[in-house]
Amino acid sequence: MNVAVVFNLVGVVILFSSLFMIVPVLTAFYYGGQDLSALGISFLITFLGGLLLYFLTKSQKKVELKHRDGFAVVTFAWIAMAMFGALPYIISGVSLSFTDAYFESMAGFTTTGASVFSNIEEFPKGILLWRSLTQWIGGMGIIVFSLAILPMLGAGGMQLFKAEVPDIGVEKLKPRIIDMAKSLWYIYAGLTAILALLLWIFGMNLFDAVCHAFTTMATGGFSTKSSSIAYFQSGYIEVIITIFMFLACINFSLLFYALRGKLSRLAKSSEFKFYCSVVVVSIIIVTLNIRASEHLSILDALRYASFQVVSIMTTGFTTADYEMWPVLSQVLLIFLMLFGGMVGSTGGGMKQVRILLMFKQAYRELYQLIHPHAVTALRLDGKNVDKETLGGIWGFLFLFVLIAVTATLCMAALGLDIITSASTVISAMSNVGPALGEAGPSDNYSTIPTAGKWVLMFCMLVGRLEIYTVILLFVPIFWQK
Amino acid sequence: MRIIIVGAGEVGLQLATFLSAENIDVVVIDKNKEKLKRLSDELDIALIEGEGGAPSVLEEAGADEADILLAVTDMDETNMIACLVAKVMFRIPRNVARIRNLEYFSNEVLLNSLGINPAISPEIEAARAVNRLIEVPFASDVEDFEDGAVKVIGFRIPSDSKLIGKAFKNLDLAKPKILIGAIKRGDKIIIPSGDDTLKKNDIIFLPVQRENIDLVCSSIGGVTTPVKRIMIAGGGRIGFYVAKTMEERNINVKIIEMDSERCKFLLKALKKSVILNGDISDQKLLEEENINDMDVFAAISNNDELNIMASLLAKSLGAKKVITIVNKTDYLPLANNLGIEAVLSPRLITAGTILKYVRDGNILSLTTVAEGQAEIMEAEAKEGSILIGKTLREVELPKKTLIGAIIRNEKVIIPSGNDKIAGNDKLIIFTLQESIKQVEKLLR
Repeated sequence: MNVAVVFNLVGVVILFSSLFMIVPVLTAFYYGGQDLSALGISFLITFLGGLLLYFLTKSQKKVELKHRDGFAVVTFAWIAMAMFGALPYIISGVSLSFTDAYFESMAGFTTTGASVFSNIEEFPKGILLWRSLTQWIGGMGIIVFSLAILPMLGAGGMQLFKAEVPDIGVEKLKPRIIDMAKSLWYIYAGLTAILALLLWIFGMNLFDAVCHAFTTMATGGFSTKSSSIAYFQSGYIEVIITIFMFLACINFSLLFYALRGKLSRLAKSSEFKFYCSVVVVSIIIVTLNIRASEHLSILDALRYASFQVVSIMTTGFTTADYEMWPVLSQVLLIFLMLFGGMVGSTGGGMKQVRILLMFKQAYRELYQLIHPHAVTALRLDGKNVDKETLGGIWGFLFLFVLIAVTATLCMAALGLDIITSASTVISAMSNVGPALGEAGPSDNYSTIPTAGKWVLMFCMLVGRLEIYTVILLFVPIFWQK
Repeated sequence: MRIIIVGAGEVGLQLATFLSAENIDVVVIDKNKEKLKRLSDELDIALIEGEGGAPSVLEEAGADEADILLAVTDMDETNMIACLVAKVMFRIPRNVARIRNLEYFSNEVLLNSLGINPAISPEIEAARAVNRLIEVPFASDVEDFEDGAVKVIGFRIPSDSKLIGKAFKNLDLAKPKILIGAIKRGDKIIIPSGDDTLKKNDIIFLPVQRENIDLVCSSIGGVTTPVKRIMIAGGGRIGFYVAKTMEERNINVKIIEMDSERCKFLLKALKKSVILNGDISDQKLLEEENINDMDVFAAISNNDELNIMASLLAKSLGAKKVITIVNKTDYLPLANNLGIEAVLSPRLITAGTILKYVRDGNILSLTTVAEGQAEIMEAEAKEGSILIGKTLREVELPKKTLIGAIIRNEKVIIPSGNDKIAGNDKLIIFTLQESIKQVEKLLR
């Protein structure tokens, strides 16, 4: 690894993300909140920190970014970004411990939306906006954003892009990565603006509308209210947010074509069809399940079920305490967390396409047992899926499970019960937010022991960067010359 | 601008590398996944797996919006179909095809109806490059402008040259005036300023009028005796073309070819050349055929390793100038360091030739030197360009860019800071790859 080059680029990314801090500073100024100085200082520290790192590591020679350097840049940039992003919480005093602040920040950037704060209504507006904004930045990814704006990342940017966005099923929309990053951000920012407008029209105040638009499009799940979306008690808002959570989990390449009028692309995508069936089937099961047990009308049951199903697939807003629901629904929700969104979306989890391909692969194995001489091929959208891609998915799933099991063991060793241990780990790795047990929808993560929070932070980062990018740094061969 | 390249071989790779570095949208099509993968690891371009001539594949590549199609697979037929589809179905304005088969290549009616404009033959391009090198014995690189009336010549500075160590502004070579446009030092290319000095083993690039070549050569300290005898090692297509041209120039040619069947063909097709059947790296054979009397030894067989070995052998046996063809671009730096005077890569030459057709309208001709790090272009200062009427001192050129010559009424003017650019002047501009976009802007 070329340390200077890597940290030079990390410096650029920090410098760039510091600019986002200006937004909450302005907000705090507008509302005249006490958090103005805290946010201002955080901005300065981040800006100067990035600048210092950039100039300290600046070299005269032009060095090419290698594959492995790309992974290191992305991982370190995310770790550093979350660290600087925690500053507002610490300096303003809303969080008394470093761990809590870092946890909140990491949960923000990774769009997990797991919070340690219980009384967020009392927080100053600037801090709240920053909390939502971290998710918005993390949703599409800071690297993709930087690429769209900063030409200096140049050709090496491709390595970074690959490290932040895995390339299965993600079509290159434009020949050049910069143009592609731009189109992605236009869609992202455009949908966010539309959502904010709709929420504003249907009853939220402008501040809440913007914050929720940020966290919805990012499939993040931070709310400005402790009771999340349930606070607003509005069917319209729930429906709007459900639709946009659903959209945010769609592959942005497909959205790109759909917005250009090529809806057939969407209709032809088997991953999209699979995603829709999973959503529809789950909604039906949960609706029927909670209607009987909670004595709800069919419409009410459908309202809660559809919101919760779509939300748990990686956003993590809540309108009902699903821990009161029957166990069947709870277990189903946990599985949905694992499924996650479509590849190339802002959603987390294992990603629908991987699950779909595994189903296809399993079917092929069975088929071959019956017809031992049959020639078969695994096809996705009419194209053959090669062995390397399949192998990559197997490896991904194995590592996902391995890390989840290990992390669950760690949590259990800290004295947490099995439901809390397993569900928090799955929720963190899938970047959802709420879990079950001690960290259920009506609780928060403040009761998790400090060590447990660090385990979960690691899970969030690993999940957000889709396992390989982070785990590579822990493999000895990565560090060998 | 969007350019579609069909074929991800060596030529396709070179083109994609050049073009993507200039912020052009590049889409490469190839049916071989492995080849595409190699490109995807290195370049910021779009890749499509499929048959280059298939309409559906071209559509996927965005042929509707494409400005240029470069068909450079090693299959003539694929290239031809790709151009035809591009012309008929997608109305791409310019379609360049790499065509090897001479029968296709020389049939203009066929090429026109296929929409191919122009066809480029790697072998013929390579043979032309060899011919240019033979014409100027002391050069390591010769590029033609204005049909050869003006050349940009690369000279390797001999170790005993009196120019070494002097700053350029103090070089007083009364006649003819020279201006160094670029220096290749090791792997690096330098666009010089007045304070730079020459070092041993530098290769300098200068624009020279054809009539002055000998004068310039001798003022640098090089040999100027014209070539009389040449030995061509390898009687393939390139060897054959070179031999034919040399016969026309009344130069004595000996060709060594390993394959006896091919020898029979050469015997029939060539009039005066001596055809030798044997191994090109056979020391005895070379000595027997008086290698030490040869003015030029050109190793141009299809085998890179053999070419390099034969060249080293010929050099040690006393051949005055050695020209080597190396196909594998990875070998180029190595071959350059071995003391071989001139190393040519047909693929790079082909890519360079194709690049000309990608350039803006004002650029008449263009060539790359030093593995594509620097470009030398001939451009016309059209009426209305901001350059006209300004002295060179006033013109704000992009960084690392230099006007090496002004061609006015077919005369070469080696400019000083006080020379003015007039309308319809043609300029020979030396620039590095990173500044090309700005230079193009300046000329508009």
